[in-house]
Amino acid sequence: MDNATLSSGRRKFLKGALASTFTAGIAPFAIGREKPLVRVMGTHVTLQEALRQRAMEDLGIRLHFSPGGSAAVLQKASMNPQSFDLYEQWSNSINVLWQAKAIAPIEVNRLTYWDEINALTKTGRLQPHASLGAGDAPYKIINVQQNGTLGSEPTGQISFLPYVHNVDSFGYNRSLIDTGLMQEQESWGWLLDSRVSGKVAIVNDPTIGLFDLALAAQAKGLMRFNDIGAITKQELDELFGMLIELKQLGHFAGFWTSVPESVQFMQNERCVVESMFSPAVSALNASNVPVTFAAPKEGYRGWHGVMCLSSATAGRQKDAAYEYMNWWLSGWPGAFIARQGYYISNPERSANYLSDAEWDYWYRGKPAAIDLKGTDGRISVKQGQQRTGGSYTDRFSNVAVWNTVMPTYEYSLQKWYEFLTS
Amino acid sequence: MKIHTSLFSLSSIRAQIILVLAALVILLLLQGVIARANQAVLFEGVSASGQAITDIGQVRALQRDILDLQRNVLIFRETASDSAVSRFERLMQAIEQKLENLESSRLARLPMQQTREMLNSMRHHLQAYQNNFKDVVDARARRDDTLSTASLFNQFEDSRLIPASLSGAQENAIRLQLSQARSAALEYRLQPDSIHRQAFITAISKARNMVEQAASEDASPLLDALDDTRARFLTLTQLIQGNLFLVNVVMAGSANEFLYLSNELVKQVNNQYATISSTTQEQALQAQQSLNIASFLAILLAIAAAGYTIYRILSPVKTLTDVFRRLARDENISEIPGLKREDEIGQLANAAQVFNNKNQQTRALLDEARDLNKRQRALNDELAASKEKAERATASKSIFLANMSHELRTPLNGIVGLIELAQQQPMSSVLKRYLDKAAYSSQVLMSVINDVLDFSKIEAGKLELEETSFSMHSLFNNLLSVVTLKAQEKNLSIRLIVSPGLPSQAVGDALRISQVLMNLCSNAIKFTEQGEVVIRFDGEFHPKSEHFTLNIEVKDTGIGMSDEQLKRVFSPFSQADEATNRKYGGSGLGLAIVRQLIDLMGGELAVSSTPGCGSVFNAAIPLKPVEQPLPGILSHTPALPTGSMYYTNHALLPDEYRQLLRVKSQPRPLEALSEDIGAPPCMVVDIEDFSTFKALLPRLDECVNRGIKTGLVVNTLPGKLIEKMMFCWPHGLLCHPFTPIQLEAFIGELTGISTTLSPDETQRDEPPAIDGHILLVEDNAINQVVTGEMLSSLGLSYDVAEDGKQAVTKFENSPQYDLVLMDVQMPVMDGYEATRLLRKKALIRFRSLGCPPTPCRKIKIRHWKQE
Repeated sequence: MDNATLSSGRRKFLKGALASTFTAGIAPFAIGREKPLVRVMGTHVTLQEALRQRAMEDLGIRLHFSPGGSAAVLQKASMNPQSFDLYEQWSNSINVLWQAKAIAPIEVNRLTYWDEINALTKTGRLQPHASLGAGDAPYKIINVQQNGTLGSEPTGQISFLPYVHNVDSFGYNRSLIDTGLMQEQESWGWLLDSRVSGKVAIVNDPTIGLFDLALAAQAKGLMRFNDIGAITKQELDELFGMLIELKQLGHFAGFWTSVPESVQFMQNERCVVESMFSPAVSALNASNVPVTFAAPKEGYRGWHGVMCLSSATAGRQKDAAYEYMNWWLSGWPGAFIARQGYYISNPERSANYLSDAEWDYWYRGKPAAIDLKGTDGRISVKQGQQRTGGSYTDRFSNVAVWNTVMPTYEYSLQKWYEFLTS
Repeated sequence: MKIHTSLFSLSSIRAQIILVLAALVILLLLQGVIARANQAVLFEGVSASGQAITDIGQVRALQRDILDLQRNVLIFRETASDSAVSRFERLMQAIEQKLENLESSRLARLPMQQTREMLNSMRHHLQAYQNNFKDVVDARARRDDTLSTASLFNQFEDSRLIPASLSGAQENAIRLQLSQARSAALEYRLQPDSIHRQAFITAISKARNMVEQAASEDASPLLDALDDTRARFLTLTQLIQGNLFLVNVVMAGSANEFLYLSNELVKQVNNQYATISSTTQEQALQAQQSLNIASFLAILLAIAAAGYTIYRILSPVKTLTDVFRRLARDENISEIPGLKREDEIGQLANAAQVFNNKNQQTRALLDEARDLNKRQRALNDELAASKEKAERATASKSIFLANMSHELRTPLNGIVGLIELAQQQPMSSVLKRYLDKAAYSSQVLMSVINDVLDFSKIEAGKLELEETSFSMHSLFNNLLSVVTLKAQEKNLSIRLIVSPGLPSQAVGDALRISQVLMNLCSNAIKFTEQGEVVIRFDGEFHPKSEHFTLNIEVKDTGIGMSDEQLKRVFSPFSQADEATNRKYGGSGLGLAIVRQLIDLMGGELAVSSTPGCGSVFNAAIPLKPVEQPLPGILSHTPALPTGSMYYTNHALLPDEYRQLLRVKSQPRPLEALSEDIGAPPCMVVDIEDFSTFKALLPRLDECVNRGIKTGLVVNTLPGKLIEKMMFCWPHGLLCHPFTPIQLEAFIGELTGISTTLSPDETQRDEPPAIDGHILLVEDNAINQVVTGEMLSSLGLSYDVAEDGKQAVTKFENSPQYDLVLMDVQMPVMDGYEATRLLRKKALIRFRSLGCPPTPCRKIKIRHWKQE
């Protein structure tokens, strides 16, 4: 038994050593020194135990994950850069972190696969006619400008490593939703439709949920925003006026704060329509809840994951942090998260780690040729199923708005509170 | 198998009743069970409802606490008051407690999984809420401590920070910017808005640009200060934003969700409560229905059972009871109901049937018995008539016999008396021989007639026994006087042996005992040709009944009897056989009379015999002893002096008597007499026959002469030889047969002690010397003559009375008679009446002869005396 454990440990160790040799190249590795520890702060979306194990195995470093709620981790990170080495969240937190100088610029030339990263974060468009999307589109905030601000001009230094991203919309339970509604073209307007009154759940985050509701109000024709990526106070007053009215009428069944909670909402039929993230849809489908992730005609709400380097990290930790960043783009992690419905910024490298059926289904938007398994080994996609919204390119060409911290952010927080407690 | 089926088959009423009762009991039990279950359900419902209400109360309290929590959070956000924090903590503890309570209460039986999930969720939200609040408090503290708006700009108060190279106008412009930044910061704190933040940043940037443009050197401290202020402001905004986010979004969301869950919980508990209530109601209703059904069934069953009992049991039982009552009254039953039933009623009906049959049989039997009784009565009547007839005949016979007795005896007495008288006259030898033969013949005739009459009398029950005191001695004397004579005719040896202990007197009928003895002894002598006849007397006293038995044994060495003969020996008119009859003659009535007399006296008679060897007759006669216990008949006999000798070849003295003599030494043979006999004081010698006597006489005389008292015991010898012997031997002589008195006298002579003898006995040997005047009452003239002659020959004078009346008259007129001899049967007045009258007048005493005052002796008895 002891032997087996030992040999197993050694195998992992050798593998890690090899990986670091080939992939990092420059990573100094010396026997006898303690392996460097990389502290990663972030959310459950990317701080998954399977990834940690795999990365430690591949890299021969130690990883410590501190997953938490979006707001909490953001505040913690912005005020205390010493508390993390790497920070993984959404692009909408970049401004805060950058202004707080909690994060340091990332040297593009230390990123092995920078050249493979697609145009989404470089030009903002995957194809010429694609919509750029309102709000803080990632390409607008990735490059560290000469004056220290963030902009679209490449400088060789970037504020975050572009990696996981996706478009979100809402999901609905096909067997419970009003049949008349389902025959209509999918629209954000469904969230405010009287036919699902009492059965609507929204993600409890003004930077996300607010856009869902704003898109819904606009789709319903209840109001029109000058710039949906920068909603004014007056517009917020008008929007929340309607929303509070609806809430008091019992239109909203709940506000979820985590992906598992959103799954539960749908599973116990607390709601029929709700704001959703892709993994929740996979999980529900795997447990035979007939949930469709809508492809609204108004376009998606896009989000982009960011991996930031702490301004307080240096030396071996910083080197190891770069190794971890490079590992993320090395293909396997991209394939891993592809099976949860997320996209990676250099998809072609991950294609090597996906079967044709998986690639066709997840990236090319084709019907599943066979049953597809999720990261937990269970079948999450049945043969013949098809992702809504088409291929990766199709979907990212149809982003209505990016998750954004708007100038009226503080005001929206107040309105959100009113909304929640009304 | 049949019993089994009858016991347990359903056709049995018992089984049916048990079945019905069992069904009732089961129904009752069922009712009980249902009621109990119902109660349990209701109880459970009530307790569940109670639990639900408690739970709902708890959840509502929880909701209030959450609202309070939110209120406190808002207070804290506005005022940062410590009391809000402590209040928050307390509320958290209270909420925690309530959650625990709810967890342990099982929440009114909601599914465990669901409850746990909800409570876990609530706990999770609460935990998040608490953590977030902690963050909020921390952030607030940081903000207050280090990042107050005032401290942001304090450093700029220091004039050393302003580079000297700056002009006043420039400095003022910078300070304006700083002032603008400060006001923006204050505004941001009042109203967090990106406009103010942007204004702050812009102002600081302008100030920085001014500093950079105005002074190239010694401006760095100011620039650093500006940068620091900017950074700190941004941190401050971050803190404010963060707290806003936490409070407004995250915590509000948590609280929202918590409230939602608690509402949901209340809803579910309510639902559950409603479900329980409805279920309970439904179950109670169901139970009630079941109960009703069970009750209805029970009532139906009870009614059915009652109906069944009345129809199938009670009314048949009543009918059968009537049947039995009628049977008891012995009425005729034509039909019995329920005979075909197989149950107990059927059995009862069968029993009734049996009773009926029995009744009929009994009736038939009764009729039969009545017939029989009738016949029996007829027979009885016949029998009674016959009996009467027989009795009449017997009475006639008795009268006839009595008459015959009188009519036969009277002339015969005359004949006998006249012959006796004639014999006393001198006559020729031829005439004397004739007369002797006539006398013998008349004696035989008299004897036969007496026997026949006695027998007849006994048969007719006319014989009455007397109970008088009598002396044994006289009995023995009378016996020997008759027996000796008869034995001498054949030269038979007679022995009389009396037990020394026998009382000398007894109460009984001496006459009948003598008759028995005479008959037995005569018989023995009659059938013994040679040898001896031994007569033994023995007494056996029975203290309990105060009487004694006189045992008589008469043993002979005669012809004996066969067994066949023994069987008939006591039958009347029979002798051992015809040949015997012819040879020995006799009426054949002797032993029959003995038997009858002994039976009459309540005694016993037995005989044993060996043909050719002899017979033994044993008679046992119960007698009453005389008042005082008398000593034995030989108890006064003295013993012989010590050293007395007894010489004998064949002991002639029986053992009893030898013991009486108490001769110590062994008897010696007669031959020893010729030897030296010594000098015994006394000597007893047995003499077998006369020749022996003659041979021994000289020697005996010698002995006598030597002064030895010598007594001889002699065997029975003919009378002449005795006289001769007495002549030759004037000393003690005892000749067989002898009476106890003779023995006593013999011993007295030997010992020289004379025993006192009764006057009667002494007179015995004396010749009668009587003198007296006698009244002879006799109607028969011949008898008058005969008796008169007899009395005269005795030297007695007499008067004659013709009948009883005459006798009474004579006695009254001249009562000088010493004795009255009264005939019984007489004309005018019979002997009985006359005797009664005389006795009444105290003129006579009915007693034996010679006792004053005048004794009366009926003549009838005299016949016996003569015999």
